[in-house]
Amino acid sequence: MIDLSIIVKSVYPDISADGMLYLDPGSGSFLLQILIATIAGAGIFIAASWRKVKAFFIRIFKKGQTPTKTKKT
Amino acid sequence: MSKMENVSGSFRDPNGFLFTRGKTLYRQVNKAYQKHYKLLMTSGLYSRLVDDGLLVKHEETSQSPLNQTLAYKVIKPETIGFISYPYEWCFSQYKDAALCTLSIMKHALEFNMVLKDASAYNIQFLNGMPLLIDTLSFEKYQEGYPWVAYRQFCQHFLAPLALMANTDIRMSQLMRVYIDGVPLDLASSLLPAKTKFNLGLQAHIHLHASAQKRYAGKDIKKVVQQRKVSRMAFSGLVNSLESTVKSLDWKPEGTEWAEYYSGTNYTDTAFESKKTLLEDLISIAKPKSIWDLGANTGIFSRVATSQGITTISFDVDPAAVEINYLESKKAKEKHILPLLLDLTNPSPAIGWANEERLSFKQRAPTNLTMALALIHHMAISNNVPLPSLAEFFSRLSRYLIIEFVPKEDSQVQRLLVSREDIFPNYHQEGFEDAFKAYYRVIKALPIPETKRRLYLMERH
Repeated sequence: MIDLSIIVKSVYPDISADGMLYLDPGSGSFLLQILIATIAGAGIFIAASWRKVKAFFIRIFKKGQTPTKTKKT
Repeated sequence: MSKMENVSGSFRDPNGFLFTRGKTLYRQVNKAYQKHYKLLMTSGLYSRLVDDGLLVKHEETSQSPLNQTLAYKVIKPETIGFISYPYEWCFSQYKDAALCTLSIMKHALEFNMVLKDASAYNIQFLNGMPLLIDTLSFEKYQEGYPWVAYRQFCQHFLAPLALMANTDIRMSQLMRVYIDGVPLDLASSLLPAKTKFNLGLQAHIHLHASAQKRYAGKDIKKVVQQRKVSRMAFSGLVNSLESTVKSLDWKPEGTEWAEYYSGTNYTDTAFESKKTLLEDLISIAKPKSIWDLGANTGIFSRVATSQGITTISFDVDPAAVEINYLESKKAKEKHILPLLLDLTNPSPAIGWANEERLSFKQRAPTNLTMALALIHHMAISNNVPLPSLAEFFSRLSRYLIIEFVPKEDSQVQRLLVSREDIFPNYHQEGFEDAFKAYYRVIKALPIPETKRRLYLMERH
């Protein structure tokens, strides 16, 4: 039988020393979470990158156009 | 010296616990939690959450702790009038409680903290809105570490909500059986196949259940050490849970009671008269809090709340409770709390030593109980003898407003259509005799254009 406390201590060395961690995160839940979080995190990264790329091209595109509004002084 | 005792449901967390002194509730914060508590209070997270109505307010007190050796501080949380449980929530209440938890988690991350638990029992409704009542649920975020409460969130929130939305609304009652949330393998087997095509449910329920089964008893130490969860990945996980919860929906339709009022024999005059009479009776008793039993969508509960009286509006029908809650949310009502309750089998005391979660009766007393158009369902549909009903109501509150519906009423006739009339004592005199053993009648009024009577009674 797996000793979950060893796993938990390996992941949470200082917190478990405080006796803080009182929930059993579950080994399968832990592993699956790492997988989902990695994919979901990559999703956020891709979405953020895509926004940057889009903003870059919009800037380029706008530079090529005559400004329609002049700044009021 | 006033009586002190631990609150029975508050024992799991070594960081502190709830206790009562006299009639006041306190929370002891233990030394083990000191650095996390300080961070919560000084980082700005506490103020942000309290300002947003997501966390219960508290004040630090000079009260002596219950356990001196462990203690760091004693705090006094704001009082929650009525503690409700997940199996008493309608779909939208449950969904709002889940979203409240995730919203707190997102705020916490901004302040370098995380939720170290995600128990549905930590969420309560105050002034119509869900909020976290456990001040000790936060800990310092450490880059790379996964969310320790992920499994608990899926079991306490996502699985029940997915089952309510996709299998049957009554699946919320599984929470009454499983104190730490619905086991994911059970949820996975009960959910229809179509949910495997929902990315969020596939990942957080179905795959999650398979992973639990596959890795039970296996050494994953090396994998866990090598793979860390970045802050972005952590946020991605929380966002994914949030969008999955938001995608779940349930519409109240086709249940027995949702259209009850359109099917009653009340004329408009009778209906309005009943409201006026009720208003008068409530004014005589002047209660601070009311339990309205069999409240349907809360029309008569609102006669009480319009007088500023906090009212818990119980009904057995998930659709009626859903309609009631959505209405209270839309109108931003602060005094009403709609809840699901089967009076013929009220919420029992559950959990460790049968003391973790209180039964319906243990959460009494209130000041006044309303039982309108209810007695025939209890006495005739459920065969409860009238003296037993009177005794039960008398344990809930000092005052009782009860409507007697005689056999001649078409609603009672409907109940007797398919069964033999074995209720020789079910008549006005029998009713009054049974209730007079426990109560004195303050006022009894006939409801115009009906054969029914409304009583205000006070317990002996």
